Amino acid sequence: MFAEIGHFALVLALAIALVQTFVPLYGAHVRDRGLMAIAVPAAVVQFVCIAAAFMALEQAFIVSDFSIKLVADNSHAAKPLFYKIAGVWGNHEGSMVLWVFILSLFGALVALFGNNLPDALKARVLAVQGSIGVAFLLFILITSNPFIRLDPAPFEGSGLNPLLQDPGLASHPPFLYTGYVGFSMAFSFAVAALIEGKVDASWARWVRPWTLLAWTALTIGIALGSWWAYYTLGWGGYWFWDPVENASLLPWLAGTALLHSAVVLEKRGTLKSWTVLLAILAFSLSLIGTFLVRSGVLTSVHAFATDPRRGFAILIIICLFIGGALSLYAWRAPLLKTGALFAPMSREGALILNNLLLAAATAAVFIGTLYPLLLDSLGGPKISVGPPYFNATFGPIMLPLLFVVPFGPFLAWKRADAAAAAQRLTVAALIALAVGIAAYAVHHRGPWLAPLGIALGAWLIAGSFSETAYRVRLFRIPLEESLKKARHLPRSAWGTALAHAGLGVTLIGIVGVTAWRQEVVTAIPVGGRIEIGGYSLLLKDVRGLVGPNYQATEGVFEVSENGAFLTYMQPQKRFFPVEKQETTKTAIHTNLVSDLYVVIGDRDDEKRWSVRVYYNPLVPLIWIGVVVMGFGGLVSLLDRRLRVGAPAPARSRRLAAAQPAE
Amino acid sequence: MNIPVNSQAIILCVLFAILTALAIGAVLRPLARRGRNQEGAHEIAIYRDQLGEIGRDLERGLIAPEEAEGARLEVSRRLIAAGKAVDAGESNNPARRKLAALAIVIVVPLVALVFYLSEGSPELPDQPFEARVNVPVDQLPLEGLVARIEQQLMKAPEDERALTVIGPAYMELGRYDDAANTYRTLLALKGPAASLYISLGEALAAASQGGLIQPDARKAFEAAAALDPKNPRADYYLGLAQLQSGDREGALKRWKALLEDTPADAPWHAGLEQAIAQASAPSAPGPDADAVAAAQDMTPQARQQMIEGMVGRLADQLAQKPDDLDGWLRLIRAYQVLGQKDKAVAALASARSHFRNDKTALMRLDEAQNALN
Repeated sequence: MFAEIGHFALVLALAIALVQTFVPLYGAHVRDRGLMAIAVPAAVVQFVCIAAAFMALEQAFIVSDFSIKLVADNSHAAKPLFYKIAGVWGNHEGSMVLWVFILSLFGALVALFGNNLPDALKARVLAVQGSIGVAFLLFILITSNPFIRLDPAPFEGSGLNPLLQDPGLASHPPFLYTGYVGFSMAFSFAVAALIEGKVDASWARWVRPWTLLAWTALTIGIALGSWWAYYTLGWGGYWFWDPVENASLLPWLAGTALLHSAVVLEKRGTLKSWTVLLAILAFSLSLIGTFLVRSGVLTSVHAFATDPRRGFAILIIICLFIGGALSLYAWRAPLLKTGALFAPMSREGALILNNLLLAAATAAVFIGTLYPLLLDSLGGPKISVGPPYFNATFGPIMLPLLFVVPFGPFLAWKRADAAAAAQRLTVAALIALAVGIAAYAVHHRGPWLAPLGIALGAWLIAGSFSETAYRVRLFRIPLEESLKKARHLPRSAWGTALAHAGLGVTLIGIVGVTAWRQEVVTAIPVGGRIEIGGYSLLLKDVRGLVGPNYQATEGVFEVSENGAFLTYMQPQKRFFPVEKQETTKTAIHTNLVSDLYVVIGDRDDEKRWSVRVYYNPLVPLIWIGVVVMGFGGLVSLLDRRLRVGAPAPARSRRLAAAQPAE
Repeated sequence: MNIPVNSQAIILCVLFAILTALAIGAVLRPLARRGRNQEGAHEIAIYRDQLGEIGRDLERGLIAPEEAEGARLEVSRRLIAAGKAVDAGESNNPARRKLAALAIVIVVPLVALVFYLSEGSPELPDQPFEARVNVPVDQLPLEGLVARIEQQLMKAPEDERALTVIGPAYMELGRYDDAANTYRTLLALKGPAASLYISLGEALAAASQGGLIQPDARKAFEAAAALDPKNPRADYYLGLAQLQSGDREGALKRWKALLEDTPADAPWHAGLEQAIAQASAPSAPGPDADAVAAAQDMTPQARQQMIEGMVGRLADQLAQKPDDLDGWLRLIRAYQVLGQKDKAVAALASARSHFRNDKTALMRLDEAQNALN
């Protein structure tokens, strides 16, 4: 009965989404506030319906109701509860339901908390949001209905891909989707603004919190995904330039650019049409990300739907939304009035540079990801674009960007004094230099670029907080007063500093592990020893274990450092009998600065176990940095001005310099 | 479930009607509200709030005075615009609103009904796993019994009694690979026994395509025969293996000897006689042992022709009866062996489109594809 109620709720959500799309749009057109206001309850009802459907699906997975085909195909009664819950989105149909669930959640949030929006804008935003809901609900109900029943029902399900039975992977889709779907909000605002023909500073203020929320979630989602890849795939890598990873990086880059250009629009009323375009692009890239993952055009570990009909349907949805939005843009964008003028050397100029570099980086990743696919589908040769391409394109674009990041916040709006900004960054530059020299002294045998990379990371961290230090006049006034000033600093300023510093921390991690990783691949018998990175590992024992739904072979390593006992490490090799698959469970010992990483493989004829050990210096900093970035996003999100929607500075618009915007 | 099937459908119908009515009611509420100026005033109130917020920020030193001035200017401009909009009066046409309401009242139930009825199953009850397994054993279907024993085995994977029960049950359900694994486990636990080897061999033979006795199954039967030379089943299967590999003489000799030792009232007597008769007069269709044996004496061209003819027949059969997954897999492999990769790819594609709704079949086709590449 729950299953059928869930099914009906999903269908009802579609019907309500149709209402939400058409009625408010019409109402806004004829300026009838009553019809416009329908958007609000419609968005809420749509959310309640999809939430009910989602709960019904969860319930079916938790009690293992194999009369639902989706559950029978993707679950198993003996699976641990956590993976039954996460199993809902471990498959195509369920993940699409999660997708629309988050979509409708965003819609409902705008409906309930968007009290400070003008009525017509709100109606149009919700209508566009509703239309995305209509498209995806139709897609679900027609090609991927999760509530198809089986009669008679099988007694056991066929299990969940063991690779997905992992805390990191099981929990990352909700974050990733919150990120992907969150950009739909920016998209809806952009399309609504194009319909209205009006984009101004307050529009940017309304868009920014949603973008920030999506960006923060996507940041965390990408970090979880890469962390999962790091500890699961057993090769010690954290980013493989896999198309699916790129698919999540693309909207992230575009979203990062959007966050920055929205600031310009908010404070200076300029870059209007570019910001709107970025909002459209960020969501378009999210859709392409979905498309890449789900259509099966890509063969990748993550792709679980390989049905050409679905791929075709998603292609239509993408063409409709991207094509529609871009056509609307081409038609209406000229209406958007150009804003204030500014000099090339100014905060605006710096943010434009940021946007140009991010757009170029996005394009590089986009081409590297899609070109092989396109070539393949046009019957051309199969080529594979790997890390060398991305290192050669993405790297050189990002490095100058990272170098100029600390300058940005020091530049004044309209016209800035670069020399003064550089002067204020002297301390940061000295710190970076010192760190670089120290890195060279410690690891002078590594690649010569590595100390430079570390110095760049230090420059980012020190430079980001230089601005904070400057604003609170640290060491120039009594400390007490500085602290008081720090408390009164807008949260968004703290958010900026944290996010930029997090970038530096991540960079240091990436440079460290790339340059100085050590690796031992060998076969040792029980009692054998491996020396790596100052650690000594003794294989004490290899034993069999039985987990809730798997059998495991576990190696027990006694790790000592400088002759003193440090810890035991127990990597496993797991066999899942239901799914007939093997996975590796790596053992990682971390001290938050470096990781020791052990994987156990098969036994050879001479009773030796193949073992891979990595010493990964600085690798934890990658994720610590990303968490700091995400935290910066959250801090910014808590800025009261974003919640209230009260404008921040919008100064009088006198002509300042010769450079017109856009 | 205690509720008879139809009554659940009725309950659901009523429930769906109520849910739809609630949804429509909620959506239509804004239309029922009167007092148009109130809504315009709402927008004005927002800007008033924002002006107050700027003042408070200024007091707390969060923004500079000149910044506050600029912000005030912008909000005031919006405030005036909003005021004008209210004065101009928005359109409030009751007829239009009624029409919109009517459209909603018709469209929402219609869409919901059409989509739900096309794929919903209102008469099917929920079937949670616990409720299905926790019934008296004699009411449990074989599948349920297996599921329950599997649960036990998950906790105690070396429970010999459970393993002994589940082996034949797997065979009954056609889960031959699981049966083979069960017998392997039992052999490891209990040590070698002729009966276990025979069960293992039968499971392996059943698991292989077309019931062929492949080397692993043959090894199992040989192990059984070594432990118990007089075992008639081992003898029978070893004979079959000989026949399949083209050694008709040897097979007939073995079976005839077995028949002599078999009492006339033994249950397998008749079956064995029939097998001997069939093996003596062979003209079975398809790639039977004789044809394979004959192929060894042919010229390479003639052999190629014969094989292609067999593959062609298989392709024709599949065109008429496409439900045979094993047949498709055989065909794909055959093309592959013949070096006709494009045909193999085409066969794979048509198999894929035929089994597009069958996930397990697709998985096996994926394997075949991997082998192809």
